[in-house]
Amino acid sequence: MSGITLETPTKMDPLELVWQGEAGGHVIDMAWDPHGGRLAAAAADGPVTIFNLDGALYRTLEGHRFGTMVIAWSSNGNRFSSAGQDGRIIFWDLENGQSALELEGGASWVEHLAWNQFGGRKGIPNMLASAAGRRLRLWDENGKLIRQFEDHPQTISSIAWKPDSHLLSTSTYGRLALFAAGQETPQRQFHWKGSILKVCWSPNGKFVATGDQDSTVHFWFEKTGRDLQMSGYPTKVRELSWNATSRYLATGGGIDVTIWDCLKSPEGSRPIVLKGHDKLISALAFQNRGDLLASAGEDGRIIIWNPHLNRRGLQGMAANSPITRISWSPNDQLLAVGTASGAILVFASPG
Amino acid sequence: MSVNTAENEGRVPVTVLTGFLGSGKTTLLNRILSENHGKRIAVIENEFGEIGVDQDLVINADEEVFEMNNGCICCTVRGDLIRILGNLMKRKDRFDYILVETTGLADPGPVAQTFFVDDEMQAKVALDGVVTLVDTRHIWQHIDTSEEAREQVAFADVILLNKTDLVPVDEVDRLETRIKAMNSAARIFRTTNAVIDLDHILNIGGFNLDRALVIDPRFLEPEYPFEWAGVFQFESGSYEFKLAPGPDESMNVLLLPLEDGTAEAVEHIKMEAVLAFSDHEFEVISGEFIRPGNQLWQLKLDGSSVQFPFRITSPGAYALFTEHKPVEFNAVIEIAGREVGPMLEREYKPDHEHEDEITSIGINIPGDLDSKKLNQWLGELLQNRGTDIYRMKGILSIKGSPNRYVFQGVHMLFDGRPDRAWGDENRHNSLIFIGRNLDRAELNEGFRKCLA
Repeated sequence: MSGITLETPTKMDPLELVWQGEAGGHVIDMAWDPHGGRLAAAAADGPVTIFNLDGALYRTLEGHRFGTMVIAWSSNGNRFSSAGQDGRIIFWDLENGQSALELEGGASWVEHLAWNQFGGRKGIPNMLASAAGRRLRLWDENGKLIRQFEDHPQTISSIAWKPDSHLLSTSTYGRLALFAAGQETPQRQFHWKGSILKVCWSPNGKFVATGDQDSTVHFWFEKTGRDLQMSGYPTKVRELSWNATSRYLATGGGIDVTIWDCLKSPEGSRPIVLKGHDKLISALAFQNRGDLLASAGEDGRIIIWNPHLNRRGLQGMAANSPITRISWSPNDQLLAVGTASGAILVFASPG
Repeated sequence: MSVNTAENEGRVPVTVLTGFLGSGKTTLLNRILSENHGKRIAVIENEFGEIGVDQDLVINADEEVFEMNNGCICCTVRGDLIRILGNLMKRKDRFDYILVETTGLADPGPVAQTFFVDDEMQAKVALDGVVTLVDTRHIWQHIDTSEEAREQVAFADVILLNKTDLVPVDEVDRLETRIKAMNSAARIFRTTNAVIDLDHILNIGGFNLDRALVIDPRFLEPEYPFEWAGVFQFESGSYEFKLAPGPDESMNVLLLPLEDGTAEAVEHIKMEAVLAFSDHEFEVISGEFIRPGNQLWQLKLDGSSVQFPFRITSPGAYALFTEHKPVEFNAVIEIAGREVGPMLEREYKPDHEHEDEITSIGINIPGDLDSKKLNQWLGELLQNRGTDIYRMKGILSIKGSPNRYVFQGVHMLFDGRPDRAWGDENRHNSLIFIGRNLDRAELNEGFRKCLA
């Protein structure tokens, strides 16, 4: 068991804990179902735990041999999938907690999954993209392979659907690429000689931001392909989150939260810097619709900010284990937090 | 096998295994995994997929090397290792030890650099050492033609000359001499079927600053700038150093007074001689005087017999250090036509016999360094020569600091910190560079200029 203890950081109002649970090991991924009724958490060692909204245990899934890496709900919520170090993608039958379908990712580790937006609604079919090593595959909701794309030149480090589109983006060392379902080769490519770790689209689809191994953040203007490089981060950047209006990009890559204002262009502008952690930031998440930003760190702290209004943390809580994942519930009422020791903590949103 | 985690502050030690195809890496890996050491070991290699071997784990890697774009021109890292190790560290059932096997043709540089460039790696794992297996039978085919084979030797903390049962002993001797000249800091073992005490290859602390400086002084011996030293007992009077024509057009010599005529006294003064040899020489032609003391003399040898007089005013023991062996010039010292022979002679292996482009350069100089000058020199050196310097390590004596300063580095990456106090020990600087096309004189002179 995680043996988690919580305390309120000095000079901060406490976050209200709603419930807590156990994920059974280092929380490597966490996801609310799109209706907000359940929370799924994957432990690095394998098991996947699904909680009801009140924190009651709903199901424990076996997960993946050698470890689970990622979990994902389809956007209409009728599919729950996971992938891991056994090279497989599993569709789970949540009624009985058993695997319903097992797919081969194409390499020994399947590290990324992404369901398309609006799948199962508006006449758009559900599609799941999987990335394993250099291999990108696209599946339908019944596990039928729609397409295997041409192998990437390097290992795929991140995948993301472009908002309001049928385009899938992937990042590797040296390249950001956009793929359409109907075409094996990239539709567009953005080159940069560096290792991209994470892709993050602004919700309006105008910007694509990347966090990089070289302690930089890149912005690409999707329309023109022009890019900006933001450097000066103390370490590699993997934590990126856009706010709902696509104006602010919060970034980690250090002890402070750095926020770029993209109202005009982040170029030459001074970022907003939020100080409240004393170890590296490990996760950042803006609310789905609201203005609040949650930051979490290796120091076990979770801090809620409203960067649009001020630079002080609104509420905070400190756990005695590094935070690995955070996720706002679809209605922004709850903030789920996963720790390296395997605890799941669910807090109430400040307002 | 002992796993000393305290030393690495909870970080999991990593050993990198390199060697050409057929050198015995798989045999060694299997031996390590099957040995009853009670530890959980994760192996990252490239031959097959992820499998569990009892309690251990074997993971395949895709050797994805990429450049860091942070202005460090030679800084390449292994992206796959960052991902795999980052993930391994998340498991509840932590591993006690990690072995990374590289493909035969891999340059070990990016693997080693990965552990220093990425903060996450630095926090969770500690590179312990690079172990290179050499197929004694077939290495000759590679060592002259393959950059990778030479790099694997250059990077190693431990070199296993494997399959020695299949090769005559004198050939193994010849190979060992050659390899020592390339990497004089590595420990070399001769093995059959990769049988080796695991204590010799695991937890060796090759990149550990606390242990990085156990440089055996003998390793540094090939690097003396003189080939010969003789101890003489001189009376007061006028002497002549006479040389016949020989293979060189000039020769640097140094005549230092000694405490007494013992071998220990020569050892004691040897570093002073190294220092003087890296200083500016004063040219003298036949008939001109040389003097005892720290001045380095460059004797011009014009192809005929030459003589250089010197006066001794304080009788006693003296050491004559010569750039070349005096016997090559039938050199003698005379007083009033009578030859004075040395009481003791000592030959030093010359450094310019190495034909390999990869060499080890040792510097061993007494005295204190000016930290500002040192930083500037080292900064420029790594900027300009970082690609050619594979490994470096040593102990430094910094002026104003009561503590030893220890450092180690890989290419342009430098890691150093103050160590324990000098105490009664003689303050000195002892360092070694292993690299390609290194210029001993340039390194020596550059370093000497950093003295306070």
